[in-house]
Amino acid sequence: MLFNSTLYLIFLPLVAALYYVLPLWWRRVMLVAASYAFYMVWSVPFSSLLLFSTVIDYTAARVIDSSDSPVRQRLALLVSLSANLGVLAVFKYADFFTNSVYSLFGVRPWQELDLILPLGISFYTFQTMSYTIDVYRGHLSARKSLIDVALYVSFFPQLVAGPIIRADTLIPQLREENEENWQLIRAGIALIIWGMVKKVFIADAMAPIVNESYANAGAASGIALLSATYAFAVQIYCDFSGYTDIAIGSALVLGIRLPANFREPYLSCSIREFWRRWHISLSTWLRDYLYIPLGGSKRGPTHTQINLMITMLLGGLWHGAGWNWVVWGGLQGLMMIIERIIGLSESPPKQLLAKIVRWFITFHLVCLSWVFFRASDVEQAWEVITRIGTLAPGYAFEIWTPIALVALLLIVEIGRGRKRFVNTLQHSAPLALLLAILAFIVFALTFRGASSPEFIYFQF
Amino acid sequence: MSTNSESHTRHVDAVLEPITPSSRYEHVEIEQSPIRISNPLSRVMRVIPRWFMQGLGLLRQNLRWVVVSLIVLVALEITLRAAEPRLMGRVYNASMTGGHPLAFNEQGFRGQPVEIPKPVGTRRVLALGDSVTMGTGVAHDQTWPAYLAQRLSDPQRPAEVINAGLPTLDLAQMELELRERWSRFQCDEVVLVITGNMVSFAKAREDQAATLPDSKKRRATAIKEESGLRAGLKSLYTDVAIPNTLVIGSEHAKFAIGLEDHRYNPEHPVGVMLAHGYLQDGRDASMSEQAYDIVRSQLAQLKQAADDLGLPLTVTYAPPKFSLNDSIWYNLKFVNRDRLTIDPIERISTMCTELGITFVDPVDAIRNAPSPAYVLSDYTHFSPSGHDALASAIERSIRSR
Repeated sequence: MLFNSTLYLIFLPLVAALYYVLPLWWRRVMLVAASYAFYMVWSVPFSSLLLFSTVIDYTAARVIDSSDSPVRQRLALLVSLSANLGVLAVFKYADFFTNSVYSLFGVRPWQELDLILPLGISFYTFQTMSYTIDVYRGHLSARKSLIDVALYVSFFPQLVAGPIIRADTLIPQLREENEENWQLIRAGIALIIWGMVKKVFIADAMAPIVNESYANAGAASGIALLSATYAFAVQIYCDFSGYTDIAIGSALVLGIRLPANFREPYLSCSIREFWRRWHISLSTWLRDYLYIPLGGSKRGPTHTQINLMITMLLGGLWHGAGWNWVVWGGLQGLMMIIERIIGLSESPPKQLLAKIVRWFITFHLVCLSWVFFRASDVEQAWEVITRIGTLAPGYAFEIWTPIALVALLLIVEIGRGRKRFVNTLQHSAPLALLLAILAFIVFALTFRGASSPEFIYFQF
Repeated sequence: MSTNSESHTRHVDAVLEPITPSSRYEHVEIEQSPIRISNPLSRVMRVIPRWFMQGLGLLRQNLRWVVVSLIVLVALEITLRAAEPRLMGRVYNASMTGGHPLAFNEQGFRGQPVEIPKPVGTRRVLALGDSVTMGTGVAHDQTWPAYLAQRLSDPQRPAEVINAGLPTLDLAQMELELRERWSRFQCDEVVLVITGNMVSFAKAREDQAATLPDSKKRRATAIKEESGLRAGLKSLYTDVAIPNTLVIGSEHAKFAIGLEDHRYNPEHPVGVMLAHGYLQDGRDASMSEQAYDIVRSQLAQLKQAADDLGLPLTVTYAPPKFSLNDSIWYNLKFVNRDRLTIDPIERISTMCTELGITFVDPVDAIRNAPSPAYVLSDYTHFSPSGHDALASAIERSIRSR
């Protein structure tokens, strides 16, 4: 089910009403059923993968927890990781691997599988893996209740595009028989409205501009491609953070807090700062389950840089099976390594001018890397960068809209618009009610007959 | 909405503060005790009355605003109905258009049936076209064929205009219809209103053989009397002006912010923009040129059919609203005029001159229409005023012959 659909505008209030009316045991069962229904609107057969992950990780964690034998524990962890990564490998990376081998050696290890990528697979596999790893590390005890794990894996607000949440954050909240808290509900409504506006009215509006220029990069002028890259910077941020706001808001309506995923990333003054503000749940996951186990920064600068590069390359590959994603991840790693080598501090400078210069450079480096993120392949990304760099002639339409939106976005972010909006609605019941009614009408009318593209991060 | 639950222990003011993750290497204990299965209805009697009382309290606190809002809504509805009666009924409804029945007579066209054989002394004109001619958004007696009949009629020689317009018709189908359906109606002349959609259909259907539109199917679209609660509610909804205004307004807003655009699908190029040589996705206007080549050949065949039947043919083009004026009010669907490379009126006019067909330029008449010339929701279909303006331009041409 899409958040930006009329169906969801009906689904969420219905689930919330049932949630508060039912006693705890029943509400948890209802939430599992609602979450599977949410997923099944996209595909019924693929919901079996959710069930598969749940059963595997529930069982593996129980085996780890109940066994005193390190070998058995390691074996159970291995089974869980192999099953999760195996599913990911088959559905997401098999074709990429066989095509890459073919382009290098002229032979295919196997024919292309051409499988549909299950919705949200990268998100929920990482989430369930973190549960088993946490149990293995002794951070958590394995859950005795299958419903605890089933709910943790499938909780619908964050099922298909995160935030990637840890078991110790979500499970205790889902075991609490909370009463309705209108302030939280109003804050949730405010976040849903805020996220919908970003997704529907900004990200989706940018999509045609980006698509047109990137689909025919050879015919578009350098200026048009630069403008389209700004448009993509706006689109991907508003699309993904809009989704996250709706996810966090939907959970808040149920009285459940999810971790923040974005903190004004485009105000960053370094790439390292950017990654502390962008897709926080993924970057902290990569830090806790990849970078630190690799050795983190404890084994000297060279090892730190290697670990950083491995983490970012795999982070790139997590986003998509393609060399452009690998290059994108590598670029992030390279920029962070350079920052470390030249001794650039992670926090922004105090002096305003220096701050502006560093912000400007960081923002454009991020935009440069977005070219690889958006392009269909490395060749196209290179063509876009070359045409921008040489200010190549070609057609150019609607070039000012993205620039204006970047400016607007920055103003809103500097002014902490999101926080102000949520605070205002949180404390005013009549205003929240009025805006909820208006938003319902506006979104229902907007979704009517619209062919809104799905969220960009659904493909990951 | 203030309740005892407001005193919930959560720090509600800090909902946007990040949740600090615990160290991955320290043990965290989460409650493991099984959750008791209780009666699923045990909370209902507690929660529902509480919500009801909270809702009532909120209503009581804001009663003044609720009453004011209702009065404003009623006033708005009355104003909209008075200002634009067509808002009471959707324009693109299958059986009603702009609140008017979309009914076809037993002879297969919209309007009053005609006598066959034709009464002596009557001037009979055949009006060929698509939904513009049929009159999407207006009543059957507010279409340009109906106005042309009024304008051409005089006591000595009554005039009838057969409205052969039907949505999505193309020129090849019209030629077929002229030869096989309308020839028995003993018309004296033919007037054709070309639209941008017709130009695009020429290209989109280039590989298909023209087929005669099913006249039985036409009649089947006549308004059906529906009854029952669902039909009643549907009718009530479509008859209230506010939702229709909101639907129209939201469509314009979507174009304004770029959620919708005017691109046509190159695989199936349907839409007015092809006729205007709309530049998109780095393509030139060659697809439009191909469409005009097909239109030229279809128009030549139509002229031949009219000549074979001994009927003079007059052609005009229904210009879309955005092409009439640079003002933003003429372009509420935000067509980017920089992308338009072809003037269809110039193209069709040149084509007609080459083929020996009379061409009527309706732009000045439509521009000078006494009231808005188009229905509110689109740039293609005319209001009664626009239909009358088009009829006046055609009348002048016919009388000047």
